[in-house]
Amino acid sequence: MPPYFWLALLLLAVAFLLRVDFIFYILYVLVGVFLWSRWFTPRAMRNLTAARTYRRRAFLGETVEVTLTLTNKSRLGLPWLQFHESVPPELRLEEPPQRVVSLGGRQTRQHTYQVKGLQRGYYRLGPLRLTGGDLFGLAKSRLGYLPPDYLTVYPRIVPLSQLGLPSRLPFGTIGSHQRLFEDPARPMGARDFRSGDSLRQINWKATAHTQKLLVRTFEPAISLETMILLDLHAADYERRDRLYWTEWAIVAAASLATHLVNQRQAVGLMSNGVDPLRLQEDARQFDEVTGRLTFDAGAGSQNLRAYMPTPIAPRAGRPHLMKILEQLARLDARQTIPLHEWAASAGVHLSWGVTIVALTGQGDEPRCNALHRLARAGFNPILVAVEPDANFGRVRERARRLGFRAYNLSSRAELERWEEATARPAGVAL
Amino acid sequence: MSRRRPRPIRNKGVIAAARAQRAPTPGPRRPFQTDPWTRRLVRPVLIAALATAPAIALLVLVTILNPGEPWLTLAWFCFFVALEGASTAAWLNNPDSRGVDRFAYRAAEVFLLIVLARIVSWLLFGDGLPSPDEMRVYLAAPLSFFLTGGFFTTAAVALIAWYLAVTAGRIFSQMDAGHEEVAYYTLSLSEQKAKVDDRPITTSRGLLQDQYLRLWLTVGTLMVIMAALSTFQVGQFLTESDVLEIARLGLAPAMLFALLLYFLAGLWLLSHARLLRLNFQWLADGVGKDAELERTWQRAALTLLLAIALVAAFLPIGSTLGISHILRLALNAVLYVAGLIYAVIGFLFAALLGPFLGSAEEMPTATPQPLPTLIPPPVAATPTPTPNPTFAFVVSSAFWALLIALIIGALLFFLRERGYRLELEQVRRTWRTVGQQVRGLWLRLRRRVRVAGITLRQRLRSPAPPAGDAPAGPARGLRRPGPLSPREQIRYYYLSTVHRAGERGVPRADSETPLEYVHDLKQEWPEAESELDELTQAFVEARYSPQPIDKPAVARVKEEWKRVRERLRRSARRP
Repeated sequence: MPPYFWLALLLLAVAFLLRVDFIFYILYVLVGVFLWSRWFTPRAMRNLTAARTYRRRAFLGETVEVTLTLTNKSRLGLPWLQFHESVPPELRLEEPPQRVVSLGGRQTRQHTYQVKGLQRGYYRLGPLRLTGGDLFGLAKSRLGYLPPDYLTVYPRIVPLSQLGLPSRLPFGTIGSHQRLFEDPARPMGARDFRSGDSLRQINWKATAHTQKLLVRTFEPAISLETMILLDLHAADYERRDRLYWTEWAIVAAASLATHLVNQRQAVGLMSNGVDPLRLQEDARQFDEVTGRLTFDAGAGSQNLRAYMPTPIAPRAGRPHLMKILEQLARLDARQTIPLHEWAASAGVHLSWGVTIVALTGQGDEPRCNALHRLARAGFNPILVAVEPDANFGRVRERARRLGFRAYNLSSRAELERWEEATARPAGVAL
Repeated sequence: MSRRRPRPIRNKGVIAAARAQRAPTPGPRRPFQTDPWTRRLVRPVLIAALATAPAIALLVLVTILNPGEPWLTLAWFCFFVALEGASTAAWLNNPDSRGVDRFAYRAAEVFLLIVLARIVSWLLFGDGLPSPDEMRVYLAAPLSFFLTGGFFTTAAVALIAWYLAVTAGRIFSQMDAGHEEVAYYTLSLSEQKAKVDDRPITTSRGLLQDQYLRLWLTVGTLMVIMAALSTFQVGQFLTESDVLEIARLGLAPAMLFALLLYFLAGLWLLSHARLLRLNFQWLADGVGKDAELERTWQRAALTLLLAIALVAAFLPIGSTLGISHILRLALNAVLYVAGLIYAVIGFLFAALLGPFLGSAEEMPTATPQPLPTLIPPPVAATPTPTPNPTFAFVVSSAFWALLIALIIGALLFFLRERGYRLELEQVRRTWRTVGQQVRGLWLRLRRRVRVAGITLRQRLRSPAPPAGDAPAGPARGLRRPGPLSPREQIRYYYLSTVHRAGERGVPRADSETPLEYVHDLKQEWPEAESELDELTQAFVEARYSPQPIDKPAVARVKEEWKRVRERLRRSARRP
């Protein structure tokens, strides 16, 4: 009981004892203020709407503008409204927006803040907490809540030349005129006739329409479909720099996929890492330091394979690339299944002749043997090792003997090139 | 004594680097704005209104007790005093005013308010400015200046309002976010961490709000009692034994106004206290705020209170009679029980002391003997000592001198602490300037008096002018040409000539222009034809031409004028 409560009682008792009828008027006013405060505050919060507007995906280093819109649908004004938006520390450019404003009747207020994607990941923006109350402190402050939204920051994408891979890889041989690499069942368009073109390829209807000799073009042969096998089994990487090299493998995968889509080729993605988004919604946890969605080891320690991402079948086009990049943004390395065990099952649903780019830590014997089995199964495997290896020549030689090629992305020159690429302004054009 | 050489700091670079690392780069300050209008206008006025309401209630009671005087007019004075008290409380809470000796300042303030109360009571309840007889009485008996009912009431009521305003003003000033708090909490988080030792000690705003509520409710209870007192028939107090049975009147409009003002202003201030509490919470939490919020808050609080007060005005006022009876019964029951307990305790106490007092009761009671009546001896009437007039004059003079010195001292102290400093050099300069002007005025007056004396002597010596002739001096109402501008000097010469010619029998008609009038003059005084033409032409130019007139031209005209004047004088002397 507050100390002034007894004083209020004393005041009333004195007024009634001395028969001051005017005390009724004062009581009416006090009760009116009390009832208004009790009635109006929850009603005002119910008539309040909030919305968050922003681009849901961002490239690394890109700034995203987030707009919070608060609308009071009631005719009566809200004397004060405090809002606080939670922003992941990794994305912060400024302190998290928290302000107190007043909203008039039917008034809308907007507040804008900016975030910047400095690390790939799947981040949570919000929740927006709203607090409103009355003018006299007679009613409890009411809380409102706008559920969080999510922002995906894509992994870094660097040009393929800077990755240290040769530009004349099999999946880079666009414009091949050898029939072996063309699939007549997959017409792609038409072009002017050139000397040497087969008469069977002439598109007669288009020629008649344009009065110009045109020939059909076809998509590259089926063997030019590429599947990226991203090895994120934690044990396949050196423990000391595991985080660094797995990130580098993801960057390489994203860059390869972007390059291939830019070349209008079909590309897919498979990984033996874990996708935190496959966790139950209530089991998802965001890292307190970075604000990024992380895979909680305790949540899925029983059967980590269940949290491996769904394979993305090879397709061409930018929407498909966005899908691949989104998945790459979320992946984490865990002790799931080694590449040499997983590779065989990975190629089950792939067409014959597909190029399989296996991105892994090192090219040891089990992994080479697994790729050899893929080669014997009719695929075109390529080994890309991302960890430094002083004796990578032996790996390359072993791979050559086993019928596939091997590349290492971790030489000093390549890393320097990569560092140059990272030092450049973000926003690499796709 | 050996001098120790200062030890050189060898690792200056390391220390500087450590300092640079420790001191974070100052970032942008957090947006936290306060509304100056709320603090400088709304809050002091509200506090002054709250403090004036009990003063009005007191004045209503005084009016009932002593009708016939304009007591309620004092409400404005009380409002002014309360406003001053509230603003002074806010000013003393400023960091710039921390060095002010508060006790001395408050003492000076109270003293000046008492002096002001005397002046106000003098104006309101006296007969305006005191007559010389009254002044003589005040000078001879200084205490008679103060020992008046009007002054006592004015001072008491004003000081009550002032005290309430100061108390409420101090509470609200402490409740508001201080300058140090704003300066610290608007820093960026890294700077706050670096300057954590400078973190201001926070005051519990909740306790301050409770203090205000206690003050408001306590004074509110007193207001209710005063309102009840104002409804009793005063004359029945002497005849009726039960106070509650005295016939009652309705509430006086002024009392009604005071009650309304008190409770509505108090509620508004309650809302303001809530704002101040939230303000500090927002400040400490780093929540940004615009000044507009506080203005909106005040508007919303005022609108809400007025709306609810308006609606409440249409609701029926119930009767307190039933509840009053119940409360009286309860009170009587409580008093009865208390009396019963007191009686039981008394009985037990007497029973315990009974055995010890038994022997004393058995003793025969002594019959009281009548005391011899003492007849006081006749006392010789002592003659009342007649006051020594010289001694009384000295005492009263010392009293007034001391009082005036105190007033001046208090005023200077009050103003100096508020920043109004007396610049002695400027005072000296002003004093010198005023002295020079007064001296110049005195010299001019003396010269005029001397000239007037000489002129008078000459006139007395010279024969009297013929009847109907005007004196030969300059025209009445015309100023001497000395201090005039060149243009006005020429006008003076011409108009004096016209005046003189009029006195000589050639008046200028209202419809005549200067050029027409000069014909008349030339006909009368043909020997001054050229001078008259020159003078008229100069006048026309001075009157109607915007061209500037130089001094040599004025000198020429003056010569012409002198010649014309001489001719006119000569013609006057002609028989």
